[in-house]
Amino acid sequence: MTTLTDPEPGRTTTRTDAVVLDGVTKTYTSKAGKVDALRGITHTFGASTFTAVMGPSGSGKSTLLQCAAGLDRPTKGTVLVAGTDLAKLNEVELTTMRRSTMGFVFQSYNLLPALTVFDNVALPLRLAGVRPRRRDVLAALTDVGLDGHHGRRPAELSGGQQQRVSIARALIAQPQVVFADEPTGALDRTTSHQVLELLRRSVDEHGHTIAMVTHDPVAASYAHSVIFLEDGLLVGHLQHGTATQIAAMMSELER
Amino acid sequence: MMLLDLSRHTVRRNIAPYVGSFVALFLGVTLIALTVEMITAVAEATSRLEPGDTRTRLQLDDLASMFGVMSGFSGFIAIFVVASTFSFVVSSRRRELGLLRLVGATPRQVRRMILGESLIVAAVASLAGCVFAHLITPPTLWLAHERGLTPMKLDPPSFWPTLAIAFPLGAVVALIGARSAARRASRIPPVDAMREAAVERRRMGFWRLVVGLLCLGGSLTMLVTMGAVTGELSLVLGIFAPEMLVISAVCFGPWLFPALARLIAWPLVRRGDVTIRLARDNVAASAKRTASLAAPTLAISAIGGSLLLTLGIAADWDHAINQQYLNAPVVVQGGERTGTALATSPAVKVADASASTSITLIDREGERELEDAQTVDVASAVAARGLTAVRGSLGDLHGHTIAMSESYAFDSGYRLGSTMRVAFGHSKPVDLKVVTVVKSAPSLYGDLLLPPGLVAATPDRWFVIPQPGVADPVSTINASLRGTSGHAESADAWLAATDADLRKNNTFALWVLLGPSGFYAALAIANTLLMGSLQRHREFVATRLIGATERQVRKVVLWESALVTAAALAMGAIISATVAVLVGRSLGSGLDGMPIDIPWLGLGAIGATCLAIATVAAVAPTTFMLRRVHPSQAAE
Repeated sequence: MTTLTDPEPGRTTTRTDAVVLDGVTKTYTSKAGKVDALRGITHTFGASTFTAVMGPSGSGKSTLLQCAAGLDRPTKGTVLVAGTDLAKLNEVELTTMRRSTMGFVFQSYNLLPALTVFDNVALPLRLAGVRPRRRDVLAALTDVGLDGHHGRRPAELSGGQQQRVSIARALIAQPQVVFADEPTGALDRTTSHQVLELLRRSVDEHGHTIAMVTHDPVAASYAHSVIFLEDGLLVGHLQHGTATQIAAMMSELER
Repeated sequence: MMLLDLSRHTVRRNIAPYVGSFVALFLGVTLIALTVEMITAVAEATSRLEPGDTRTRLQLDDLASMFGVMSGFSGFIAIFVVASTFSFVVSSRRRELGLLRLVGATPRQVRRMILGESLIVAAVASLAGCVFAHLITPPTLWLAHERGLTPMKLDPPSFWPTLAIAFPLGAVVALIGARSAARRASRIPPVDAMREAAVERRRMGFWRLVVGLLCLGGSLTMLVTMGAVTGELSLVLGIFAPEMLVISAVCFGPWLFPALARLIAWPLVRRGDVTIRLARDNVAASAKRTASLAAPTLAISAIGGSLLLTLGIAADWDHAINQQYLNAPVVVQGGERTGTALATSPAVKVADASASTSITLIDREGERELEDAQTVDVASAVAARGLTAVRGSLGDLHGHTIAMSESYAFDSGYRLGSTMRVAFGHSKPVDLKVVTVVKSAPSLYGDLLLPPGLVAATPDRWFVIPQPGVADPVSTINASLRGTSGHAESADAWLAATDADLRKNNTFALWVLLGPSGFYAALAIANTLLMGSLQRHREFVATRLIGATERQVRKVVLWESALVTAAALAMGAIISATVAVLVGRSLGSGLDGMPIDIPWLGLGAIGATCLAIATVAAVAPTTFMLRRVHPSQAAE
């Protein structure tokens, strides 16, 4: 049994590890030459933890998230999600794995405009060939505070409401880990607060796991721990940091 | 089931990108359905015809097959047009499809969803096309009769054959068109849901490569065969080779067209302004959009161009053959008493009578087919019309025998020594033996020759060799024809008139065959460009934000569409020219000389029309959009 705090690198995998990155390197080759986006990242996202990934632009935050979610394949190193090595899966297996174990939340809410709120939330289940139970979908919407909105279309909702729908969608299949990419990037302060509270609550009360990329120290302060990236390297981490502490660490890095 | 449900939802809400596909398919099905209605009308009229009315029957048969070819062309063009509109739908929804993949849709599910959406659009568009075609059939039939296309006024046919043929055909066209788009959609990676702009990759799908190579191989084989054979086989290949070449060019389009456009832009960029440079880079970078825009232009220019050239060369060939073989210096046309007058005229040495009749061929399965034939007197035909045997002997053409031209023998599969079962009018069928195959000269003596006495045929034309020493034979013979309906003219005048007649018929056939599909292609080019421009709203706004004036953005768009169209036309010209050179070489071999008359006017018109449509269709929506946007919108 491990603690909920950031474990030391290199130890053996247990059931409570949601995502394990081991020596993950990602090199992009283009006409202009080689670019190292990640240079040997080793980190474990423990189960039921809320981790923020921070770093200046170009530090490799998004690449890290994409490699961890199997959206991109690392050049070197391994990624284990819920104990499964992603490198061993083909595209279809990866998709099946993704829909049962991962959820996604983005800056732009990425809801399908053609579907109602209910259908948007139920979509991952339907794609998996599971007939969604009305009760479950409505409960997921209640959890994010959207009682009675299930019949609306995304265009009829505010930005914060749309983001909450996408959180409900990410959580509906009870994933092992939710990847969030700047989930509050397009929201104002009050709405951001609601959304981040919601994410934190889903971890504390329902035991979900969240890995969130952000550049906003205030957003990062809602997480249990923050890891810092610079030039594709893991350069530090902070437990239960306040927004001020996180901001100070960021300015240190950006200097 | 769930996916079809999703398809239904997404089509209903995302109607805008599908409007283009709907319009393209609706027009295509309308065209196909219209030809089906015409064929049905012709068939219904034929079934009501008096059994003895062979001439009208022959005319209606020809008409039906012409409509058949026309619908073939329309269907062919429609596949390309519909395919390019579907591929626009997919590229405009890249993010959404990436998102579906991210939340757990497998590539297969995405492919099925796109196919499902296409099928829904196809069903609605095909039904609408069939109904619309049925509504416009009466005025079309009236117009066809008015313009002399049909020998009589045809009644509007029943709707069911149209629905049974054109409706499923529309669905098939849509499915072929949507296939590659759906395949492409299924390959969109989930990570595209997180990207603002995706770089198009030019990786080629396996099947695209296979189809492209097969068609390239097939068309090269055809071209090589055309180079090797002589005569009319090359004409037939000349009709089919362009279609194959178009398919393979479209398969390799994402490489071919940007490269061609770059090449065309090269001299312009060197001394031109920034807009040309930007246009060239846009065209080269968005390879798939460039290929989608170029496809309809290529299809119509290659097919139209090569058909125009091939038919022109066929006319040149006919003229050259007539000139080479026609020995008689005078040609007389007239009625019954003209023959008697010619026979008694002292100025006439040989009057070679050409009497046409229609005969009914009966094949082994008892299938009956009407054909034109002529009765000839061999000795005078050899003297006056240069009748030459290729196989067998002309001397054997008497009794129950028949002779045929080389090209007819090739087409029909009859050989020297085969037996043809033939009926004349209402009489009992007889068996005729093929005793000789003669050189083809369609205007001089047609395809099937009968010995005199087999059937009563009234001559209507005489090729006349005057007695030596007769000065001004045309006037002399005209003088001896006084009192009859006959009229003599010089062989040169007759040749010129025949040639002009043939070319007039060719032009007419071209209009009927390609007019509707050309019109359709024009609408389709406009439609595709419109879709392409409307998709680029953000890009235009961003270009304005970095300091481009409205005029500059318009110029970029103008140059882009000019470059794409020029690339497509260049490819079309290469295909047409290759086919024309080979057809010309192979028809011209064995002739003393065949002056080729290139129809520059027609070719120029095809090119100019494509360019004009492309320019207007690209610039109009851009102007409209630019008027309503402000650079500040880019920041939103």
